[in-house]
Amino acid sequence: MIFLRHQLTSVFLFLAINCLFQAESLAQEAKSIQKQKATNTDTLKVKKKSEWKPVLYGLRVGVDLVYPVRRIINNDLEQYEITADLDLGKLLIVADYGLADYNLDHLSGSEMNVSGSYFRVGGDVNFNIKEPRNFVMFVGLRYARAYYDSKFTYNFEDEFFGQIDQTDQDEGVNSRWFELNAGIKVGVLKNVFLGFTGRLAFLNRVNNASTNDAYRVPGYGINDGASWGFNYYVYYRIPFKRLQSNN
Amino acid sequence: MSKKYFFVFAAFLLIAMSSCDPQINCYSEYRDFAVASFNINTSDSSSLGLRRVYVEGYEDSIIVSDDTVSKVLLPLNPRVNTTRYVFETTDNNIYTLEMKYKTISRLISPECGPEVLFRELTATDYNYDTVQVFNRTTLRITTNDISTAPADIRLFVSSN
Repeated sequence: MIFLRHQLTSVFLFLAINCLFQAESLAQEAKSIQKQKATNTDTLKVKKKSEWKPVLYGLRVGVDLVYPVRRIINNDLEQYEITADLDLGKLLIVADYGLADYNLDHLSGSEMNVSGSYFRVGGDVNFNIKEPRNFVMFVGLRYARAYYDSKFTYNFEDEFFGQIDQTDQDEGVNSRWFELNAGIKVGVLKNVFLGFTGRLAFLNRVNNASTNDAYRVPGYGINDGASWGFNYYVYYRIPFKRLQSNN
Repeated sequence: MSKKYFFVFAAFLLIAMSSCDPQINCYSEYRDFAVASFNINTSDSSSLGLRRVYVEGYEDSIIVSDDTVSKVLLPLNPRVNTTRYVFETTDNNIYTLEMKYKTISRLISPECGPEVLFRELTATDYNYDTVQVFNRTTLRITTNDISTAPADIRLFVSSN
């Protein structure tokens, strides 16, 4: 299982690095073509600026498949997530919203329930300049917040004070963090996309938790330092502009 | 291209389904006791002859009996937010100390089980001459050797 996790991380990193290299090589290729054109046409000096202007190409809405499918195997983690991105050319404005209900138990009979919602907002940069509308390779940043209640019923044997049976409950807990994201989105049918996002969530700050520490924060993952996450989405794209250029 | 990528995505979905949470070490970095040191006549860390030390309400569970010690480990009760200790010395003095603290429970992991963390330690009631509390953050294990462990509480006793 650890091997698979490492494999997943490696593939994620490989794709992220690949995105950067491909973008760089394509940019270099474009530069050399431009140079050649400039030398060939001395008289016709066309000042062509490569300034990017946002054009609203479409809205992509999607649902996450990882947790619903994973729930078939592990019933403890219930999570549903929807996502949307506005395609502005090189830039994508992204928002995610999710609902979570985690029931985690231990052999001792201890049980932790964490339920709530979360959202993420941020932007991605599309590095694919060859076919950017149909194949998005992105790296981006997110700001995220979660709102949840946590209830922890636990028991254990204390060396000095004997059997401890307690229930601690916190309501209205909130949490905020940041994420570094990378992934791809590929059009597989007309306006239908498949994509995955790898996430590195960090700087999680929990507020209003006075009696217990949630083991898992909705949308963040395990609440112990930085956390890795993975989403696999199916999207539907609502086109706003007819695709005439690749920019 | 689309069909080719469809299979790549199907493979990724399978990997995602089989991915698991990282394995967590069940070792805890937190402790459920405070380290108290004795200071006689404001000297740095002195030894005190104790006939017995116990937690009020748990008289059968003796922490120290018939020993001369410079430091003592005071267990903190996870059920409540205060624990009261009684120190009976060899020169027939009885000292008491009440510690107040906040508790926060956590699941180390579903495999490892629960634990309780103690923080914001304060001395609320005592008949020592002076009590100084140094550690108000979450109590963590810094060393396994009590003799070198820094004291969370310093208890000052006058020899007069």
